[in-house]
Amino acid sequence: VAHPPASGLRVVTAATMELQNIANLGPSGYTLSIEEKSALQVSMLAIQRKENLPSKLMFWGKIMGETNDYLIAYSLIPAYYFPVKRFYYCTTANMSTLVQMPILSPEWKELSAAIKLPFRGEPSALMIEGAEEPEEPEVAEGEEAPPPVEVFREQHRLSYVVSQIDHDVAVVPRGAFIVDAAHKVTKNKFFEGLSYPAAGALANYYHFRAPESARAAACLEKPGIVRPADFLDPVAEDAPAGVWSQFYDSSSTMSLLRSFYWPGYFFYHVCETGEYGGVYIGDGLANEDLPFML
Amino acid sequence: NPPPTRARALSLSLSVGCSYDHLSQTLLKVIIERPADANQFFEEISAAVRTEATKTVPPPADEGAEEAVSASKAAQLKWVDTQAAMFVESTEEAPEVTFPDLYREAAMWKWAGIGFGDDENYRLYLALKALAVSKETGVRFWGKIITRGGDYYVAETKSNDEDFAEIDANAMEGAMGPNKYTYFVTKGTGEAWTQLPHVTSKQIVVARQVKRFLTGDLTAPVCSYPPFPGGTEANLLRAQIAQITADCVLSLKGLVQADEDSEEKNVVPVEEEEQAVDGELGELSTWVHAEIDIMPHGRCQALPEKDEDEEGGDDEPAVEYPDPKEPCGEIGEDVVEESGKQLWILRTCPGGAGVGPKSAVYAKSMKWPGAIAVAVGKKVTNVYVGFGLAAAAKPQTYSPPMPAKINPEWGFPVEEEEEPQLLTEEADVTVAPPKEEEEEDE
Repeated sequence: VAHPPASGLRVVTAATMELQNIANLGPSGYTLSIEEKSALQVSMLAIQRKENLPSKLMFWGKIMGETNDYLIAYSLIPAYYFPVKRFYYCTTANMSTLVQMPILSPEWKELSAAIKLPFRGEPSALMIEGAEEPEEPEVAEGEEAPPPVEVFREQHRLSYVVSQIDHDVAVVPRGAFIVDAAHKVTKNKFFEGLSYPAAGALANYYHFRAPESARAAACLEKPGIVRPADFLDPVAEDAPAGVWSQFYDSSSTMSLLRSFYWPGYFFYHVCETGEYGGVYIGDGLANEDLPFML
Repeated sequence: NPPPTRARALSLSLSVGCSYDHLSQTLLKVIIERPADANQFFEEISAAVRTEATKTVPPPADEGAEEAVSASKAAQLKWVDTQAAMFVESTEEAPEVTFPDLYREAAMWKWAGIGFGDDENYRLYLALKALAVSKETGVRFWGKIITRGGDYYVAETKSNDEDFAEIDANAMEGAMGPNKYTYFVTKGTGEAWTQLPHVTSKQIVVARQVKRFLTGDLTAPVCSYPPFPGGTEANLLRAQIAQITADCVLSLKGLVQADEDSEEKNVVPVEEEEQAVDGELGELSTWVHAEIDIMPHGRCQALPEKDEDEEGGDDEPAVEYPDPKEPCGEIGEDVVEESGKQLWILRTCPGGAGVGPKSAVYAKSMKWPGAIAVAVGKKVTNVYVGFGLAAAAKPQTYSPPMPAKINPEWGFPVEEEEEPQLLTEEADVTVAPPKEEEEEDE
């Protein structure tokens, strides 16, 4: 007769950067002020319920601007092939309402990529020199107003930069996400964490994005069981070598990762537990002088 | 039955037994614990059951697992020992030294979004107090520098004038210049503090042209162009700290003043009874620099005048160095030259709906991202958390300075009065071939 196994199923309660776990960001040196945290708690819960989001809203990070800073949160929407992140932002001037980030046309993506100046902190600021606010068309009585004309504003650039940063540096440890029986990528509820020496190897960290290397993409498409290490791009393959640094915190209980291409990205993982999280707190500018600095 | 068949039957029964047992254990786990989507995660539940089965077996044979436990155990116990030592009350009489009450300052930094966590703050406070007591000098927490191999905590103490008595004043300025403070760094609270070397003016000049991440090892060489004088990362770190201190340590008008008694530029605090903040915290004009600016040639004060009796006084041509900036300059005057953009940004926290008379105001530097100064009422605190680098002058990217021009080749020394002697060919000299004696035809 079989007897039940000793320990129960451990469901991961503290995962990617819930607002309550902000204390884990201590080694990064950055944190949220009490005003920001308190307001975000309200607005994140509001958006999660109003938009009926499938999972809890997670804190993504903070992009500093001149007048105001942007606070960004995201929700993971399950989708076939790879889950999608939906981003919301607010400025520190008005933290009680989160707004969904706009979707960009390819033209505006190119424009955003070309801008290298710091953020101003005003989402409705016009970004093209010489552009003017579109005039409001006259509306006859009884007719609906036409939808407002979209002009390239800072919120569009913000949307692009956030998606770039997320694409380049969002990190998860090996085994945190798995391909389940339905061949969908989902969070591993039974993730027990990396052991102490495993957490010290950069090879055990992966980019959380739809795989781009040919090998990983092929793994995801073929039928059958997919091992956790196979279907994501490893962080250790990022070039140039040295762009990521891994070290333990002073108490040797957490493994920390920092990116030097997007300085300000900070990832922590509490060894041998399922706790991990990553945030970006910085000015939203890529460090293009990186080759000189390593 | 012959042995092969019996062995085969035994192994078959064992394998069937194993998978039957395993399946029943997995299903039992699902029945007892009732996870939300057991079907979707059935393989994972099965894997979890399997790993738990192996965990009951003691792993002396698995050397890898034993090493894993002892590596983390050793590191964590080592940390515990160093931290526990800090919590032991000292029986010796404590000297009268000033050390920051970090937990109150940390509440001010938190408005600016900087913090190390409450637990770490307290341990840092203990570490700074221990440093102050051991060096018998006042200590200020300067900040944290992020490197590629861990982060440094930096503490600031006042330098002794005696350290500079025997050093060439032209190369390294003493306690009236960038070496007014001596800095100590440590990788973690409870660990030993390492003193950073003093900085020379050449090191500051080169550090301004070089852009490198620190590696986290103080003895690492600095591979840069121009070559870094002094060589190791400790010198580069010290030069960066000197620049950040000169540019980013702020105070409020009315709390500090320029020292009118001394010839050299200096900033001194106003007498406590007369201290009163002159202006609103939310305005740029109220904030002033509390440290002397470092000039482009790496010095704070003007060069000492050369004695005319000194030998070799005429060798170097007299270079015009700019006058030092007036001390206690307003931060509103710090602007980017080309665009006129402000280099300091003020924010009130809490602002918006929560603003009140006790709101903190913090000043954020755009030139040195990570440097902040927070003020509440009459109290100002400065801290830096960052990579130790100046902001990139976007949209230009960094490029190292061009190499020096190649020296011209040595040529004939030219005297001024004569025309330069050019090398010319000699005129051709024709030599007639020897005449052959003509043989007479006979």
